[in-house]
Amino acid sequence: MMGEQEDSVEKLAFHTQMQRRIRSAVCCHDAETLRALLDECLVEKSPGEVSGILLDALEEQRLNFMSSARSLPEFILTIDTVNAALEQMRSLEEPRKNSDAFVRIVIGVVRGDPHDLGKNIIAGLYRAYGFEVIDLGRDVHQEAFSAALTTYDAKVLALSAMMSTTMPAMKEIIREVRITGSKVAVVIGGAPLDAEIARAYGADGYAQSARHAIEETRSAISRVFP
Amino acid sequence: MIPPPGLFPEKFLDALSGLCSLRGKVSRLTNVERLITTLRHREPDRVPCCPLVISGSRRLIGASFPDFALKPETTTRALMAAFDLIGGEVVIPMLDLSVEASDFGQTMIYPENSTPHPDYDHPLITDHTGYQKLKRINLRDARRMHSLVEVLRIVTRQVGMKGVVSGFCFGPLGVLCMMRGAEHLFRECILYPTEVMAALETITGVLAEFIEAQCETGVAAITLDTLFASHNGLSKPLWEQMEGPFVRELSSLIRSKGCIVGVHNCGHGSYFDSQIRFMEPQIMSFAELPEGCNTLGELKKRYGDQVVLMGNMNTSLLAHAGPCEVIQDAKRLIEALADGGGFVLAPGCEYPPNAPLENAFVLAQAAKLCT
Repeated sequence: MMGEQEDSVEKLAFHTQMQRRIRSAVCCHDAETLRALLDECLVEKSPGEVSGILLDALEEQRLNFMSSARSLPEFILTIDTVNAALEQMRSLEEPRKNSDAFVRIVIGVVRGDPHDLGKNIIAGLYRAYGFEVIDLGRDVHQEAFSAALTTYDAKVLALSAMMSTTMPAMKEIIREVRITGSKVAVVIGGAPLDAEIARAYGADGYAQSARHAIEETRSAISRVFP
Repeated sequence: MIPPPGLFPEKFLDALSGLCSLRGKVSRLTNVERLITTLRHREPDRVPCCPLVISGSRRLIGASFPDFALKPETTTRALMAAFDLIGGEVVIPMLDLSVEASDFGQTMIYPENSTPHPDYDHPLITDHTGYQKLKRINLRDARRMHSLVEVLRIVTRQVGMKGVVSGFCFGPLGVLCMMRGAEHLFRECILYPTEVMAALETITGVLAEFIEAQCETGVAAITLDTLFASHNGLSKPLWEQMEGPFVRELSSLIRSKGCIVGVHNCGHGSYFDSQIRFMEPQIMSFAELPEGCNTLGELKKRYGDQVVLMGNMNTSLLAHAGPCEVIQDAKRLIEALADGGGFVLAPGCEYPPNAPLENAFVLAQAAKLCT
């Protein structure tokens, strides 16, 4: 009995220490240390459990980014680090395509717009949070969005525009998507937009910045797929 | 045209603005008097206005985006049409944010219906080793920068005593971003700061020449755009380390020419405190509230006696709302920021280039109606 208790205390201590070290490696975007820690962790834990620890570390950084305690460049490096580590985990995990949580997202920057920083950050965040991302890139025509939604049977369409001159293309894309009758949650974001314009364009969600993208996408999904 | 304000003694400007402020209580001031009064933090007869109709002005003369960006005579005609028709006291002629980068050799795209931008599929700097290879260019061979100088020369002459003209220069980090792409640049500011700073030094040398040439056209001010000094860019310590010293050099140069230093901010949570420390600007334009301020009242209290505030009408509202909403928004800003002078009514950023121009007229009228 005593032996079992000691064993579980030891396991808890290991878990806590590992969590702390992983959090620190994610915070410092130290990919090499993180890889070694994950290998060490995988001796004791399943890939799913280790992914959970990683996502907790990312969530902590995301909240820091939301409160401006972390800067955008630091957060980009954090996303890079976590995505590389999650890739390592996913190669060990069972495919999750039958899971209820599995959501496929088509994302892109609208026609005429070359600014893909925001889109890339959000695509990286989506990946890290377990969404499957079909990234169409920048300067994407309406037809390409429609085709991707059909081909990949995506639940979410995420559109970005960073210029007031390219922003109206979003309205056209959303109108086209609605005409085809596809059931899809549309989330839009970008510098010239605001919540009112997003509503007027017929979007289901408006991500004011990368800080809000995950919550806004989750709530748009729950509204469209209750 | 008015001589650079820095050439006048402070006491003279104070006395002049005091007299103007008094006269403004009983009669209408001229545009220049109104601005002098505002810049000295005294109350003019009404708030001055800068509608910031830049590439949107091309539509007044039926010109395309590429013509506006590449033909100085077209740019000048468009900007003067906007100034004459819409009004306002401050004119900031600029072409687009890629002027400097394109002269460094960045491949550009000139869309027919949108603002010119770099071809991000072919960035001039392709990896972190490219920063140190960036070569200094001669202003004489810099076609687009030279075009802007020409535009400034003509606009300054044509505006004359009817208003104040400001030159414009994108900060060195912004110029570098146009040649590398923001995402890579952000990563590399952390991973390869020495390399990035080498490129910033090269760029700053060229921008100094560019600014000198702008000052020689007779402009009263130069506006520096330090977009990355905000929550949309680098952390405050990193910005102070990377761009701070270079923009300090550029703003000192502007002051040494007798011109006013203006700073434009279109990011969220701009670092006003750092920007003021490094650039000592007289005017700060802003699209969003700076870091540490939750309301316009807080902003006025914290920075209102240090700088003239300019902005911050919502550009989405200008693009989509009706005249009544625009007037209401202008009223809200004037009530919060105009007390005691030191405020210029303007959009937070460039007037949306493809939006109907009606609201630009409303904005200029609102400055008269709401004070």
